Amino acid sequence: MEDLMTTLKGQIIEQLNLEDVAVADIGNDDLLFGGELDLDSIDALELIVLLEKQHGVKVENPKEGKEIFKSIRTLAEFISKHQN
Amino acid sequence: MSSQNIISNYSSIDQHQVILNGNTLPLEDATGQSFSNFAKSVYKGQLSKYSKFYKMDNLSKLAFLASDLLLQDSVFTDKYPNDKIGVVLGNTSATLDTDTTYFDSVKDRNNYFPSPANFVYTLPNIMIGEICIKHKIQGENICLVTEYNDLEPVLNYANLLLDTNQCEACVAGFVDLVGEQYSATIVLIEKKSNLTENTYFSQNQLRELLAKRPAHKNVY
Repeated sequence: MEDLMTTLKGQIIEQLNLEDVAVADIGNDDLLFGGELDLDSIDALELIVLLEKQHGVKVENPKEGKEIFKSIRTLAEFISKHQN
Repeated sequence: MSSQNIISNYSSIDQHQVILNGNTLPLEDATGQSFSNFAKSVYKGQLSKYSKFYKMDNLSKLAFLASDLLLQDSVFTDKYPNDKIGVVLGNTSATLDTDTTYFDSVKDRNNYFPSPANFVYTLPNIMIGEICIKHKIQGENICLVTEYNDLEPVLNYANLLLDTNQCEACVAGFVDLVGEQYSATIVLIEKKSNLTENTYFSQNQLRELLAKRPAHKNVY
């Protein structure tokens, strides 16, 4: 799980062009939206693409998005659960 | 065209050179740099931090840099009501640069991952949106896509907005980019009666200055 969370941080920084952010700056439980990363609705769409392209998992129910995209940890848990 | 409207400030960015009111800004030697790296160094060296900058496509980055150099001190935007400042931009290539990037993400049905972040930049008026969001400008705006790299229709439209009192001031200019070819000129147009300083440019002066620049041509 730790490796996946580190991988996710790097992928998010690259995919969302977070130029001034380093992997070490993102805590596993930091809020992705409404926190210091200042992500917006387009970023949420990019995260959906990232999950599908990089990890082969789809967000089937948009209502679950808020919980899935809460933090790096919830994202990693969603990927782990749906890849198996 | 009204002679009562004058250009209070202007900037231009062209071939790794930034000019502000006729003065070339001293920048690190950018020879051989990509536009992306050049834009990043101008942003870091000249402008205050803005988290959305890196998310923009290159066309919007170019428009943002050229306009922010003029607007970042808020002197212009504080002088007028937000809904009385217009933005009139033009270019010849629309969003071809980002259109191509977006097309690359959808052309292979077996590797079909369209990027929402690219898609939102496939309309040229988005560069106006970026300027308006940063500076809370809410007046009339339009993006003119023309055949030639010509500031004239842009100035004409901005003058019309001022002469008909739809706006009290305008951010106007020409911003074009395809790949590593780019050119931006942004001017602040105000009514002469609203200015107390004597330092300003006539629109004819600007035309003459731009005409002398070798890069003031279609980016193709």
